[in-house]
Amino acid sequence: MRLLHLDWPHLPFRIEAARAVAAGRPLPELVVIGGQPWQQAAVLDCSPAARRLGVLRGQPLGTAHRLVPEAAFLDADRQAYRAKLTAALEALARFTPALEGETDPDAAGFGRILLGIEGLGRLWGDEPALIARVVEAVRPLLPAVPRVGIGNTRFGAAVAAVRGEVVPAGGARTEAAYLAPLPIRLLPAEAPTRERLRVFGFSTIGEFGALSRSAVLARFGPAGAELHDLARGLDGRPLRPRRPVERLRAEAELEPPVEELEPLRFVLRSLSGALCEQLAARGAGAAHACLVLELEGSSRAAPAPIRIDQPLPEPAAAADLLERLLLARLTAQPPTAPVSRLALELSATAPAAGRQLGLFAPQLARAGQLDWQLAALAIRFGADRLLRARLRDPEAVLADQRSELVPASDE
Amino acid sequence: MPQNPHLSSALARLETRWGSAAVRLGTDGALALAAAAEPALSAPVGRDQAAPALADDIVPTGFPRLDALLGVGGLPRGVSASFRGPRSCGKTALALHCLAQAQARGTICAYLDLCRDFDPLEAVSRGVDLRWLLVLRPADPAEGFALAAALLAGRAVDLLVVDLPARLPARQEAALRRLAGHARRARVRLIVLEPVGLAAALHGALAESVGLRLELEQRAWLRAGRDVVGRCVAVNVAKNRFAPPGRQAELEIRYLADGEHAGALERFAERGRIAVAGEAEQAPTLLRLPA
Amino acid sequence: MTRLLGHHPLIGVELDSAGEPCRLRWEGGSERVEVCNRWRVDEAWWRRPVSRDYYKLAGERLLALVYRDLLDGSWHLERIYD
Repeated sequence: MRLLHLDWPHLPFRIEAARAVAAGRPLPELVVIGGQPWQQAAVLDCSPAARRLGVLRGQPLGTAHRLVPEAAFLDADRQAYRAKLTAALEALARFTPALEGETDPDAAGFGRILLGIEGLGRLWGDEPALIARVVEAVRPLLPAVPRVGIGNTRFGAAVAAVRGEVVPAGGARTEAAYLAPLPIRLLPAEAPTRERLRVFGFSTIGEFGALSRSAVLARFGPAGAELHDLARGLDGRPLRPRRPVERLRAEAELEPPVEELEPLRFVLRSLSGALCEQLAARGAGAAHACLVLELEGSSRAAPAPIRIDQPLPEPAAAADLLERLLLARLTAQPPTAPVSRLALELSATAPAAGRQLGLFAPQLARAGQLDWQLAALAIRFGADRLLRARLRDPEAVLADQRSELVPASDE
Repeated sequence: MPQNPHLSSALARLETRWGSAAVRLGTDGALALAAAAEPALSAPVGRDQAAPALADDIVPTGFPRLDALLGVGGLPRGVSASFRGPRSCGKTALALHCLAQAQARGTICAYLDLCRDFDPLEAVSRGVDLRWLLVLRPADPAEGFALAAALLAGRAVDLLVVDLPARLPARQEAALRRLAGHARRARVRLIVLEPVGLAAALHGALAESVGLRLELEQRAWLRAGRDVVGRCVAVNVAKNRFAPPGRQAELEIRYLADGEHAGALERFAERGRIAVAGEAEQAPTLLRLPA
Repeated sequence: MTRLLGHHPLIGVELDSAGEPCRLRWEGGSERVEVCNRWRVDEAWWRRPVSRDYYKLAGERLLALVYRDLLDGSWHLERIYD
């Protein structure tokens, strides 16, 4: 997965500064944005000079006032900040629907935009050309030039943006090799974990990534393990697109009504093929399928339609896999009367997953395939036959409280 | 080893706490794609036992002395193996070491728990990654074999451990043979834990169907004072498609000391899928198929 | 690896003169054992009380973790080390 990361640090402050310049009244050196010092609110952003004097985002305004009593305190115009970032997202949407950006100015990720650029080369040129086009598209909408980087993972792309670089295309090894010599402070660690890393003397990401996972888990806990994965180029977090959820539906009248499964399978194949083609053309997949069969009967005595809801292991546009899962359900629960109408609806659409993750870890590449298989096996044998183990409380005194087995399809 | 004194100090502290196998550095300067899986409880590598160079599709057992006897340095792809021995001989520990080694090489594994006594916490202590392990708990052995065969046919799993109960009915012989055949065709590694006392027909079926048979014999307990902390086990290679059989290795299987789980293990934070946040739903786009 | 028996089957235990397990009977078999570790668990007295004396028993062949349920005096097998 190739990701382009755009980053406007301190965007609220930059917006206010640009606004002030446009009004002919540049901001003073010390500025705090978030409200007036006597208000029960927190700092949203501040000028570089105020940061140097200890003002921090999230700090109570009163505390900030004690640090920089002579600063200009501005009310936060959240609506304006949100509108500007939304406009930038709209402009970037023409490049790809695989687009993620936080529009809430209070969110930690505000000012960052992520684009999935896999396969865009044919449309927009090579990656340097794409960067230029993207930056040009947002230039009139947001102040200052963003930091831009391209990587194979969210974390790699974010680090590349800080450094203004492009990580070579590749998998986890490539990402890890890029990250290895970089300072460990680039890892998104919370303060306690950061302090522990310092105590252990790690100075580069590679030094930390070189530890075994069991050692990391034991010393740094699950949070450390997640950082360890990032250090090793393993970041399976998918894009969360801002596109609205779509539902696609296809239906077929069956005249004469059909009783056998084989003709139903043929119709199901046509419906799933048509819908999956639509999704695949947008690079999307569906995570939920609903099959409705209307049964033949007199207007008074018609049996109720059969409805089969089938969650899918991952957002996918794989018509054959979808057909097989739904057919397994039909085989387990065949219609009791001839079917006069078949309707298939796919929903919970998102960028097609699975293939993207294959670059990050060997098992992840197979996880999608396994999940589909587990879904089919669960239908055939029962979800309670295929389990995954989870640790609950390893420190529990009673052995049966330390772990549990849960249906694998629930994971 | 790195020259950085801070790192050396940190590594020394980790090794003091977890043993010499706790910290592994990549040998080529780059980082290993998957974590090194040499569990902290395995026997140390003898200096005189040079591990054979491994092909990509070989999974070591985790015990270099045993790997040296197998001819190819471990379990090749598609091999079926049986580990036979009485209770407390260490066959389960050996199987879990193999499983952990396989996962470290990027595979997804499964455990057919016909005895219904699989312990996740102990598996983790052997280096098993629960994220990439399926545990199959069927209602009965017949269902279990059918389920396992269906799982192998999908080829998403690369290693299957089958834990046979001592009282498995002899009529399961055909199912057992079929499972070994499925594993061979799917090129999945199959490890069968064979208890002593299994019905003769089943023992015979396994003897014929597997390419590697290890017979485990109990030797002395390893003690720390009065407590038993492990066992010496003699592993006899009774059948081997890849090297002369009849060779024997002595291994030390160590147990996690009672009450040490809190110190030895970390809570696992399962990595859940990130749900795609939907916004306002729209009416479905309706397509009609042409008549 | 220890095998954690989900249902903790009932077992027969002979005690020596010191009141400690010296023989274990299970599934038709019998084995002379010695105690190599022991501890007590008293848990969850405000819910379902659990009060057990755990014994780690080593025989010539078997290493097992058993417990005596102090509430009803029964003996159970919890683990087999394998």
